[in-house]
Amino acid sequence: MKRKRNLPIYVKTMCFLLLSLLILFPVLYSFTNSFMGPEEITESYSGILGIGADMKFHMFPDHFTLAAYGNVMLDTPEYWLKFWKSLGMAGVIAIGQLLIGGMGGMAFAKYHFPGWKLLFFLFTVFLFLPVQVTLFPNFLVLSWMNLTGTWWALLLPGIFSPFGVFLMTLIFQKIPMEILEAARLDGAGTLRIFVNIMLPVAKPGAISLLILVFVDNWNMVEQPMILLQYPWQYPLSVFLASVNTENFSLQFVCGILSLVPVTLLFLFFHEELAEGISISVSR
Amino acid sequence: MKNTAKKGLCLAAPAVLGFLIFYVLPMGVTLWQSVSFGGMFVGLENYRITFENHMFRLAVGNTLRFLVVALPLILVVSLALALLLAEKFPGNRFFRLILLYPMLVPVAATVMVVQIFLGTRGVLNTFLIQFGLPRQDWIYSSWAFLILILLYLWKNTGYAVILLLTGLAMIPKEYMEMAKMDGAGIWKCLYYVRLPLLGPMLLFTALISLLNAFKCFREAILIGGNYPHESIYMLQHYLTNNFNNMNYMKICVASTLIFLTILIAACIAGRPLFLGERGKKKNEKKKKSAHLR
Repeated sequence: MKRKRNLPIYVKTMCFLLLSLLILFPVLYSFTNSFMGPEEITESYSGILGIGADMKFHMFPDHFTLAAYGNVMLDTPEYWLKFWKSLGMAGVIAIGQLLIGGMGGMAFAKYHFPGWKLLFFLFTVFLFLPVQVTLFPNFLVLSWMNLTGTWWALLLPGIFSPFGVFLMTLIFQKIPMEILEAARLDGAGTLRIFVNIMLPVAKPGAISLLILVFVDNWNMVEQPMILLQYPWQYPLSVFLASVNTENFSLQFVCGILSLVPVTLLFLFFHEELAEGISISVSR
Repeated sequence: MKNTAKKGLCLAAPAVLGFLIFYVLPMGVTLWQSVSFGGMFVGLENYRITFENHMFRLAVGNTLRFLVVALPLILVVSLALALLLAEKFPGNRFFRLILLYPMLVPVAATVMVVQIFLGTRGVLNTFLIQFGLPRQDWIYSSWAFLILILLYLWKNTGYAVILLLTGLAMIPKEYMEMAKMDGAGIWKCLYYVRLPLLGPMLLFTALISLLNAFKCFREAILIGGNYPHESIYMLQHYLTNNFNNMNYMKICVASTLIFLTILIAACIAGRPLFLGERGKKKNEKKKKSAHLR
């Protein structure tokens, strides 16, 4: 009886294993191909540019080499500059959203003031607007402030995005009022309660907010294309997205390197991420 | 009591101020511009012009079509996966992680792979030609729609699965056991016990998936460029292209329409959520007072 039941379980595992491979395939393919030399890539994939032969499935390089990595890391200072700038920008937006959105969320969850419901409703409505809808009007307002063409144009709307307030409100609502009251009786100020009580108690939620916001802004494409003036200002995500003859042999390596920060975050914090997502909706 | 409200206002002040400046104010400017021309109020004239625009209609139609296909699809797929993953089996936790991972992958990192497999000279076409089948232009034909749907599923199923797994975990085990004792099969359990209890969570998952669907236009723009095949020409393309042509009036009209649609939808969908919250709160208060007594 028991043996019979075990069989479908392993079938299930096998099916999910296949599915996982399928899901990871684009990343795996980029990864193995990143060890190809520039010549081999040009030879195999110049079909992308509309020249050369039809492309074939080419999972593993014929000649394993780190040449492409060397090219990107040593010969292209531009790449590293963009890498660190993008990393800093996404990081600042994530932390800013956690602090400002967290404070807002604490007010919406625990310190109700008259009209908070209407405001929270407004936040929710704007949360569901596609980026582009607020992007163009934002361009007008930012240009009045003389901020277009600078990275402030990406940072400020990013930090004040309604997402932080929304998620932190959901998360803080789950924290029992008693904890707050106990802290207040012990004489802790409101900001102190926020930093020393609310954030630590809501740690998985806070971490998942940080990751979600970081990833979203690490991948931003639309905002820089509209709000910045020159292509040389573009962050890594947009820089990567344009496949052209110049950078084409380095595409895989650049793609893999752009995956490194998010993958590291994922490896270290996947439990908090999953927990945070489910906390925000559980009762 | 008053003190709490004051503290709340102070806490919310930075978030609300920034939100007003960078989100509400721009939207207000847009609203005004959509009903004016050169600073003069012109009523709905701009809207009439926009509605007559072929590209606008195409964009609205495609966006709706995408949502109508993608949202039910992601709900069904993620519900099926969540039901499978809700039971313990070897590798369960690992698969949940793998499902979530694509959400973090920068679109740009996969553009190259998509081009290699689906380009005109791509792997798939090379394969087809070997079997004597004609070459297809996958990315610049109506297949693009399917590619976009698949990319959307690839990216967002994991998040939906986690939300639904949370919902499933909140259903008390006794309910399922009772139903089983009464002789209900797997499907009956699903239909009469799990789905009704999962209702609010399904709604929430649908909302989050809608939110993520709007982000999917990154993929559309990266893969098809500013002028993709007309089956994936979305509102976002319409907005971007009009911006590049300095056609602000058209943008403002389209933005306002999207805003109003979402506002109305939020009013309708938000009502049960808000009412439910109020009801829950009353219950909590009652419980509290009962406890104190």
